[in-house]
Amino acid sequence: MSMHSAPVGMPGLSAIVRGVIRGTREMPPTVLVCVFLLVTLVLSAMFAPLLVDHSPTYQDLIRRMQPPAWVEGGSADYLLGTDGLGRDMLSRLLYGGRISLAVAGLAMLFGASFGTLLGLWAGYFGGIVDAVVMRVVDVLLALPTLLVAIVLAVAIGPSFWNVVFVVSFLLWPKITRQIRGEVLAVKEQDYVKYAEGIGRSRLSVMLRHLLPNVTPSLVVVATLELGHVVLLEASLSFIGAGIPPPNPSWGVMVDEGRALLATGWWLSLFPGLAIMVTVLIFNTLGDWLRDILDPRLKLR
Amino acid sequence: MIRYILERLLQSIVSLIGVTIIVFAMVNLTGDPSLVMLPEDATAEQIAMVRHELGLDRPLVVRYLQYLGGLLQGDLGTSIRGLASVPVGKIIAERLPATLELGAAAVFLTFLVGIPLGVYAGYWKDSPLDKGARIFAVLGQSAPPFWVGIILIVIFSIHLGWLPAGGRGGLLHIILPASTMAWASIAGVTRLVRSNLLETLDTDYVRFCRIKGQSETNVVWKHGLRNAGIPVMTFSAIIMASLITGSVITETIFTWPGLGKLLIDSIGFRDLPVIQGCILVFAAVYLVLNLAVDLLYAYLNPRVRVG
Repeated sequence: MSMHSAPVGMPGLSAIVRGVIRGTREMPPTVLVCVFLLVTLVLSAMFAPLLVDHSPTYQDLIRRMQPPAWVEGGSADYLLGTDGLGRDMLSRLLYGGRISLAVAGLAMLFGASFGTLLGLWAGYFGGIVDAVVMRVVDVLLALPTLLVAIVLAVAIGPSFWNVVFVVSFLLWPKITRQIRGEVLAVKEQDYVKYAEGIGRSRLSVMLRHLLPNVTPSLVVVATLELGHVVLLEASLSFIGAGIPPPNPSWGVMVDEGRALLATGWWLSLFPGLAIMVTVLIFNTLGDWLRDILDPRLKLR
Repeated sequence: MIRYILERLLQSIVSLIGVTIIVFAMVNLTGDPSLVMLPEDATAEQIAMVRHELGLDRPLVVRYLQYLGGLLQGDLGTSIRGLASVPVGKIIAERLPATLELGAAAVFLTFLVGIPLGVYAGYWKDSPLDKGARIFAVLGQSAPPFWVGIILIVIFSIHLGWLPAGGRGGLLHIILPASTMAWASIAGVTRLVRSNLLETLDTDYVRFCRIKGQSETNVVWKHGLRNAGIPVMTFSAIIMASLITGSVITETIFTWPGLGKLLIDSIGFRDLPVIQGCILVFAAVYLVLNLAVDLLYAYLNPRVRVG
């Protein structure tokens, strides 16, 4: 039931591209900064091995607890200093970004795919599947996310793929609820009725007509949720239920710095800032995408 | 209205049963507690004996039904940590006041700071105060709570030495943990009050109040805020969720002897009954608060009540 009455055909991807292009022309400076930061973040995570000389896990106890380069006692060799085991903070930060972004990206891929398919299915077919799926969604959304995440993560043990699993598990209900709601409105549209009338299979209607029409709001919700996902991974890693040390995850790094707060303020400060900036980027971009792609969501 | 209440009540009960199933299933995946309790060189017979004593050799479904039956009688099980078998209910009852105290302080702080900040920011739109409040709101919702807690400790405990960095005690002890917990929700409330006040101040009845010659204080705080308050109230359900999950992390950082710390400690000891109990109490508190907010909202908003 989109107000800018979607044309028959494939409005999904092209609508997003058109919307983004339209929005880019009058992109607010804050969004521009966020796009720039996101690109920097992704590139620095991807090319971390080329950017830093030190290994993120190499311990050098002689050089432990060196402050950042601009502080007295710091050296240009370790721009952001070293941690309690003499590991280079900058490389840990960059490699940590790799892990955080990879977890967020993969969890979003799995969670959003599963959630979207289930939402399409539940919304389009209705009936018993819809009832069951939505009750499960209700129960899952009625629980404090972090608590479930902690118990689940502890249950299956800390590892990269387990964190991805836990985060996607907590993500899909939100996506499903959103997509189902959209489908309920879209499926009453004339062009969907028409496609059904000329004998298109229900699967084809679902994938060729419904999916493209819910894609814009999927993009918006997914972007906004990415911030939560990054925070969730960081929180899990912080309490030791996420990415296992010695892997450099931002959450783990904040936790490691906690023990040495009195002597090394930089240990927790930088990874925390990294988390904050990343979440900030996704929130800002999500808000912006919502404004330009889906004015209806803004009202809620 | 009665129908709505009953529906919501039923929904909450279903959710709570769902919670017991999820928690039971998850906790029983965490590994065998008998292995933690016994020395490493325990024989297979000893392991079997302990497993039998704990009832771990029975089928999962039977154990779940027994657990549920016990719950209905108010029995949360017995802690398997240490030699003395302490009832989980008793352990939780000892810890709950600390968590509630912290939660209440955080809620108090949220509204004490969030509402005035939102009102002033909305009233003096685009003033330096408004800009500051907006930056604060954005940062507050992005900063990881555990990190905020650490930064507060670094500043106020280590460098300034004003406030204690951990433990439960007098008023001084609660300031840092409560601020850590409230941080994100203050940001949320500020943002919400501000945007809703902006909308409300633009309505006809506010204009009418002004034409009638009511004082600005009256217009803003009485008419403006009251109408801007409903969305804030709905939002308080989200605040509570964030406070409940926040307590797990905050209590761990500040060694606050509440339920959240108990949960994290128990996970380390694989103390299944206590873990189940903690999650269940958290979820129950959460569901009850949510229910209360929804009902209050329905009461205040006739459209929900009738529809």
